[in-house]
Amino acid sequence: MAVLENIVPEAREAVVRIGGADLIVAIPSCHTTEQLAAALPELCPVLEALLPDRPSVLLHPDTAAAPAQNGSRVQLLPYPLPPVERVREQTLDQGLRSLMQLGKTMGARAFVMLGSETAPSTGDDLRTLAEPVLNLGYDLAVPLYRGRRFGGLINSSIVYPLVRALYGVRLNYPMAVDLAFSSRLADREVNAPLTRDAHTGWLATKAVCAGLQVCEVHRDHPPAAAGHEAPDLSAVLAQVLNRLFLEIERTAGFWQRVRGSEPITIFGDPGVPGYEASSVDVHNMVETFQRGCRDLLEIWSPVLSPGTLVELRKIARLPSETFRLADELWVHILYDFILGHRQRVISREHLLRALTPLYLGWVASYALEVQSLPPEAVEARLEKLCLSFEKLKPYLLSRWRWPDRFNP
Amino acid sequence: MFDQVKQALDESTTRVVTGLAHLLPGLLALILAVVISFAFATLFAFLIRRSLRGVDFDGRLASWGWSGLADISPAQSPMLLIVRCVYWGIILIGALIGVAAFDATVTQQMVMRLFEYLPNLLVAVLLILCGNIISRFLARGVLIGAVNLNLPHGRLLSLGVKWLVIVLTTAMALENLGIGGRIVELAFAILFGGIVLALALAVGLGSKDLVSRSLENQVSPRDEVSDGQFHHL
Repeated sequence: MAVLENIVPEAREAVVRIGGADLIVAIPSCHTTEQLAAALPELCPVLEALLPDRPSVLLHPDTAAAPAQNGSRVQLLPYPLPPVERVREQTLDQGLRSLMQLGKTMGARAFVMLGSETAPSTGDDLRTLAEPVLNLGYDLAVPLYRGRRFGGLINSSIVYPLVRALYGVRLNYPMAVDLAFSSRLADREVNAPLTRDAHTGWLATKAVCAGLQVCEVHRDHPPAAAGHEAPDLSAVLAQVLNRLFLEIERTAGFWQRVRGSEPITIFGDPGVPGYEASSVDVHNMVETFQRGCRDLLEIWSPVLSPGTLVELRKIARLPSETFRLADELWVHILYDFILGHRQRVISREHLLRALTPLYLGWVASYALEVQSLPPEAVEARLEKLCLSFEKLKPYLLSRWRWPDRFNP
Repeated sequence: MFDQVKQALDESTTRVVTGLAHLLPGLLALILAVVISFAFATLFAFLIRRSLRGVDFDGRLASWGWSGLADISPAQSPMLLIVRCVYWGIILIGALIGVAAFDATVTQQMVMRLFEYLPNLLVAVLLILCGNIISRFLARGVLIGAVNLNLPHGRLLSLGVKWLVIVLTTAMALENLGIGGRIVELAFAILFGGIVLALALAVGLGSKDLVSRSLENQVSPRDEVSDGQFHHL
């Protein structure tokens, strides 16, 4: 058995008692005894079926008391797991790190983190996520959530297209908090030195940059909404983008060599995207965008190129009904913000928060375009956006490599 | 009679010439000190400019998040600001040394008082500099926040915050310099109160909807990142 120093003292005795485990599953969302009691009948049979002859451990927050089990071979291990909230990703990192260190101590070969707070994972979710890692040699399996017309907008308008264009993989939801991963990936992460910028990117981007095998698993529900302590949109956007932009800066050597993008293996049944056409009210979003164009131009001007600023001024004069923000313009804006973030043109917090009106402008334009389209056309619309990100990547590359050649 | 006038004139001429003769070394010392300080200032400015340019000082400062300093620097270059501060600082010291060379008690006292006053002056300059940077930072933050909240008077609010900080730091600097006394305190209180009242009125009257929305949210909290039809995460 490996050293116990890396795990909290309260759990050491239990870890010694349990011994080794092949699979460790963490369920940080089960804070209370009732939640844990409800989750166990779902998860324990699946764990037993996944590893009929090998031990597995279910890690739950020590705030929940483990009920007496009736003959299940699954070992329950209370652990001080921090609650996972998507917007407070630092706690997700802590939870993941705890899981990895514990797994290393117990000699686990696969790990599963079921982090969704508002949509508790079912036994089927656990099985579909764990199988590719346990049985098929993948290093990371992440959920591919069922699409929503106006859902996961930060992901579909910024995170997914950027990760796809820069890292060359069509990984639909890099920010997933439910994931399964191998001991190889866990070892890399645990052994990585904790630096000032440790909280960058997500496990998915790290696995891609390390050249590990990544796959997706269909999930028949949309991504869970933000945690109960969700701050305002501007703060969420700033947090997510700061994490992504820091990762882009950290991995510049990798993504500068990548061209195009490749699909990755997807397991499971895609289901039927069931969203219906609905009319939307984008008046407030357009108004915020117009206000931004009026008041924030002096903040945007050191970041955005002159051509982009001219375009924005033109668009700001359009009425809500005919409002459109072209994909190319949106991509240029984001690439300029990545460069502005890197060069610290202004305070990073201010820079990222100043993107909110532009983001709302894009959302308004997208919503007006797709409000009456069928699901396939919505997918095609998002694919078109992704292709724009890929097409304009040379712009980011040239400005990243030679920032002095362009001075807005 | 004529002899007495002549003697008086001679004595007066002798006094003036003697006075001038006494003054001349001091004057020469002043000129020499200023010339030498000019030479030193030019040399130091050249060396500092060269070494700061060598380490890309402006770029590094911007990458450390001190880009606000560029706004108050000549030609948007903090390097130039430092070089000029050093240049004129050396010349000022040279001039003070030169003035101190005069054999005059009053001049010496003046120089001593100036030297005693120098720390206060430096603190005041630092206060105003910091106040300027902080005011710009806060004003920008308030403006961005106001626009994101779709507040109608974001610019006014931002300007108000900026001037609040500037007025506060200027009053602190003046008090530190011992200028104005009670008048500065009084003027500061009136200005500060006036700005706060103006902001409160402007925002309060212009943002009734926002306040009522905020109160509604407190009664029935909703997820800000999923706004009705739109789910951002």
